[in-house]
Amino acid sequence: MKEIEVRVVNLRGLHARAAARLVQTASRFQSQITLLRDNLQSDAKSILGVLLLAAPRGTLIRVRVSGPDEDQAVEAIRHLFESGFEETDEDPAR
Amino acid sequence: MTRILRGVAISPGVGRGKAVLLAAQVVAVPLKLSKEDVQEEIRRFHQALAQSKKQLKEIRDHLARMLGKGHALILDAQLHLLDDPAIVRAVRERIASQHINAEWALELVLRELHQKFQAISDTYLQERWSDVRDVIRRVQSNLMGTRHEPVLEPGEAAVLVTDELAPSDLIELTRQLQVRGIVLTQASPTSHVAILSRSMGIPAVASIDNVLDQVSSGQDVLVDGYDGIVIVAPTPLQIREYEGKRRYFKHHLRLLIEASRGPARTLDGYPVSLMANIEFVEECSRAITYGAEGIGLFRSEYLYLKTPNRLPTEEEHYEVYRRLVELMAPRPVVVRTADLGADKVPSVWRDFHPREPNPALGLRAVRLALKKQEIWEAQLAAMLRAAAHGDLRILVPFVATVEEVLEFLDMLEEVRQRLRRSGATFRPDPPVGIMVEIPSMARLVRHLEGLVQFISIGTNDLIQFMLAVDRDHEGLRYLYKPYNPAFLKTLVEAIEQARAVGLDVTICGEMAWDIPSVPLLVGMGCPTLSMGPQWIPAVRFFIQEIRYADARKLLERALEMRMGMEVEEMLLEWIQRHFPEGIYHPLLRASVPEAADVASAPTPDGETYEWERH
Repeated sequence: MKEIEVRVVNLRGLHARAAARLVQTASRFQSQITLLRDNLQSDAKSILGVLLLAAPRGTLIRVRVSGPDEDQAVEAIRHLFESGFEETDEDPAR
Repeated sequence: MTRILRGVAISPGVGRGKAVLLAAQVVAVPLKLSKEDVQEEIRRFHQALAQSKKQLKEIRDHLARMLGKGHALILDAQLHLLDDPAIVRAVRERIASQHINAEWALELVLRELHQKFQAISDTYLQERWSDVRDVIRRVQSNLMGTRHEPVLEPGEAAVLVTDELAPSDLIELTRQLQVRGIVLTQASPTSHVAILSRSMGIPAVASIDNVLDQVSSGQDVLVDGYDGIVIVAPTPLQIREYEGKRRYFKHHLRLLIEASRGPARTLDGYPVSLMANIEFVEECSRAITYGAEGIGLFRSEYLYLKTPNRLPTEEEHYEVYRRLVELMAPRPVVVRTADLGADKVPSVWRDFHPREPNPALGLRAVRLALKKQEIWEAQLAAMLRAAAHGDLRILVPFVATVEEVLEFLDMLEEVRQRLRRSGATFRPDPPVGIMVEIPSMARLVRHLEGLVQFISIGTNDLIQFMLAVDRDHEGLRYLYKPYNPAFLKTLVEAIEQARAVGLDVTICGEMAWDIPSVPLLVGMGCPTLSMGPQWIPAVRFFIQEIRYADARKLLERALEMRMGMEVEEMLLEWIQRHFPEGIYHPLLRASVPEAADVASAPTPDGETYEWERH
């Protein structure tokens, strides 16, 4: 099992598009991926779960990964958070 | 037993069909399963999921075909939820661990999710909640075999009965059902669902309390959208009576459309172009049926208001405008940039748009656009891109000064350059115009030469600001009229200045379909009038019956008068001489000023839905 801490850096937080990207990425891996925020916890492969974390910009999130491809999964998710979900300038609220 | 319910008419016409209760509560009941049945129950749950997916995909594809991909996105969100572990796994686990039926497991998951949603004060998430609820209800009803109005045979007429209805739901339902009427608890004549049902020609009545308790599913229901009456289980006599009423209006509408074929041209050959004011893409077909020569005003505010918690993307704008110009081709389509602020402020803007003591005179429309340029850039870029597909023209509302025009043109130039850099396909130079609705601008029209190509005169605001009268003020109705000589002089000056420098002119306020005002506008030489599609036939018919020379004389006399009352009297008297019934001539009735108040007055446009299909 691996565990990392990431911070939400993109402007709109874990909102629609970011949440969808996170779920998309998490679903590529076999590992069980859990997000923890304060006392909330959710499955990273569930869009609903991710949305319900309601994590605005600046939130600290712990990511717990366990499974055969946990190394790759951790890296992929770390990259996603650090790059601000690769939000481009298409975002109208930029 | 026959029952008569009284409400407020929000969309005219008479319709009859079987009641389809939309909020019909799905009631899940807890059942204890034996251990052996658990596997079977999970299988049943997955079957219902698959069935729900199939239904949603069908609706989505249908919608995408009929209305474009943008509308289908709502259903994509629901489809994803059917795969979401927060629902699927949670339900499965509950069935397995608690030995309960799938319907009840879904109910428990729904309640749990509801609590979580409520704990979060994020309006974006509140919107997602309705998706979650709808999708779970769908799976539940598939499990119970109660999905989708089993009372209806295919093609059978339906009357929707519900507490409230979102415009998108109405559009979706009209694809599935032959909707002949709508009965609602909530909705005002100016609500979006009212505008949409009028433009789709579906009779609708609102403000009937607890309507869901008063009608049962499958009952025969008659909706009278002229007088705001709903008859549950009507007697054969009532049905015949209403059939007569329906025919009467249908007949007049047909006469009106036939009587007004061809261009609107006065008896002495003076042409006036009639265009439509619309708010939804769905209104295009009706605009064409009624003979609109183009869209003189497309209001874009709804694009913003339907997603109050975020801004519409450039693609969402583009999709709508492209469809508009394609549907109306080769006719022109004038798209007005959002007139937001005033009474319409999306909640997402509250940060930079605090409540104002006097919003009608506050930070709105172009003022807001120039202050928060990034908000309008997506809209302008989408307009330029859509202009590559047809005759799209850009209209800027609420301009008070020439400085604002210059600033707006700078902003447009920046958008152009951005599009150039990105290599997008677009038309760089569609016609640009401004709304003349603030008195200051009306007197500066000639200075727009070389800056813009047309002006559109918004008479509603122009009257409101010239006479300092709130147009919604019940007690001041007598002031809010288009006959005041000072106002008429301003209008004449604006039109003459525009003509002198070669700008095209459109009148797009209520005055354009106020029959007594039409001779004045014709006399001013206003080349284009734009109005709700339903008014076009009557105005066209009227113009075909008058002479430009007479109209000119009426205008000259009006400009010499002291009081609006005298002008109004003169006009009504003149009309009386030409039409024995005056403005109550059946073919003009659609345009009687009071009829603009759809809540109380009959207009013939409820009948077109059926008529257009044949």
